[in-house]
Amino acid sequence: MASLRPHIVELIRHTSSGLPEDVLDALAGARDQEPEGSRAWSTFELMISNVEAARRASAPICQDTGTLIFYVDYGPDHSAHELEKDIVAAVREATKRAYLRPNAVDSITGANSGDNVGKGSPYIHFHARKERGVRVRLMMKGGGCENVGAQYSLPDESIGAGRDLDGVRRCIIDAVQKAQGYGCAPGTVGVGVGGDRVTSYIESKEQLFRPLHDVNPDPVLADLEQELTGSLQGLNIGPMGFGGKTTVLGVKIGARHRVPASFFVSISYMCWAYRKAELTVKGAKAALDGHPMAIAAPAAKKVVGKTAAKKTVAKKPAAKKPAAKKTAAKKAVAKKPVAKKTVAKAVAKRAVAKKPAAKKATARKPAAQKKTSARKPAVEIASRRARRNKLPVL
Amino acid sequence: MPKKIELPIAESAIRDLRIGDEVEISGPMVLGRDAAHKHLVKVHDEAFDHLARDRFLYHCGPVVRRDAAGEWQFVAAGPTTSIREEPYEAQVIEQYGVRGIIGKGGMGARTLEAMRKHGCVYLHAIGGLAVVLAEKVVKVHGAHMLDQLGVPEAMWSIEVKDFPAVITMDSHGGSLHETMFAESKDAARRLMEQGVRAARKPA
Repeated sequence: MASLRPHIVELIRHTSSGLPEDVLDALAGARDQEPEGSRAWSTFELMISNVEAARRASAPICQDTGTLIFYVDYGPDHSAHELEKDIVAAVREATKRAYLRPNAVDSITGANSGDNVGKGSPYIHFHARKERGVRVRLMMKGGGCENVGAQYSLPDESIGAGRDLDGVRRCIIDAVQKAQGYGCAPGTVGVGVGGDRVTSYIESKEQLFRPLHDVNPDPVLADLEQELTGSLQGLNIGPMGFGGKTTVLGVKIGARHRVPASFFVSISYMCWAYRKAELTVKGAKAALDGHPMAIAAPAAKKVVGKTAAKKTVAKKPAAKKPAAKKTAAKKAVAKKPVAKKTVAKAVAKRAVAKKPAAKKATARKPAAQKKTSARKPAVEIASRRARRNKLPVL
Repeated sequence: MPKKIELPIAESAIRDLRIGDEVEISGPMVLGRDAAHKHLVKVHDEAFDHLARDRFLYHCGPVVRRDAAGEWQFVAAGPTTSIREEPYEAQVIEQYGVRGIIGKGGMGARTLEAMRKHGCVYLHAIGGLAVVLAEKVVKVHGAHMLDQLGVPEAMWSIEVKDFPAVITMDSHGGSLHETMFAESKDAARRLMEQGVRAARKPA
């Protein structure tokens, strides 16, 4: 099996420099609910333009590129050992290319490892499966939102939470209220009910891999998710805690069996910069968030600085493995235009909007572009910029 | 329209700012976060004093890149959570004459009191706005204590142009964060009391 390192470098670049479609849609929807020109409106507007600028520049949308959480499902044609080596090497390379901030700090000495690799970093969860191929899911979770996570042991008298669904609900409301804007609201709330202290938190993180608009297979939890996604908006915390109509983008709840003595409710809060993506590889085919990607065969050419990766000549496949050392994944991405579904969505939206989108796009300053000409977004995103004349006032 | 702020700034101009004001900042400022604060209250750092007096201190750990000419560039530079510096900030404001703290999430009572006493404001930037804010950094002069503290924690000396922020704590004891917290707490209580509404009973 060829090295997946270039694919994973590209997965990291893609995850760090953009947001999933459903999250972008939710942010655009939240903006459109606010009075134009208000602080909340301009805040959402700036968030969206930041994502667009980041995509163009292949720069991290947030400087806190977070904890790297990899979930890997692999078939019999892959080995966990090789995949781990590829992931670690890809993380090092992505850090060198400034897709990631050096974010691994020795907790005892305070020394930064400089390359995001350290004890327990990156975090990789392996799961062996029967089917061939491999799926790598990556989530990047910043420290600000991680710090507002919370774990409750029920009963909790301070919030009147007993060992039932009502108690779970109280924990979620309490955690979102205490989080205020600190976790970069509006957030998505992952909830783990039951388990032990560790697995309860794991469940809450795994919930955050769900798409924003799916429906929980458990009808009781589905109802609670739906109710809270509506009613938590009444806390009026708004984007960044400035006040506004959107306080959360979603609530996702999972439950695990527990021992009779314990009843944990664990909350993982995900900031609006909800970075996650999925790489699937089967044989020679690879896809990033469902869009086919082609990675250039590893070239022997050395990458020097940021420009060298521009055009990799990938004429002959590298004869020996070590040649893969400095590959240029950037160029490699298939330059597929916007997927059909996205176009349809964008068109539908435009139909509702008052003004055509074209004008505004040209009005943006191309400041970001100078750094970026070499970098092709893996997946083009439709612009969510407000179709209005006014510039953001914030 | 946002108010324009030019750095360095005098105390009287700071006293004119009120919570809710939207501003755009231009001029020289300095970055500092957890490790820097811990260091700054232990000694009097003359180099930092020079960079911070009558200017703003930005809570931020950037992603940086060095170009071919050896010049630093900010790639991503949004604010980090400020409340972690609460144990130190009041002293930093007093000791170094800082006129504004830029960060996210706001700060506590001790900092608010120091701001009232010494003439300083809290400017809330938007978390996660890393690329847009990095583009406002027009020049990176260098990094104080880069070797000891590492890239995210070093005290970067930068020049910004039209950096957007909102005043959420002013020099008159006003804090938008305190108001927001109290109001949302009441709302949360009411919501808890409504109980599980639509939920079907578990089978």
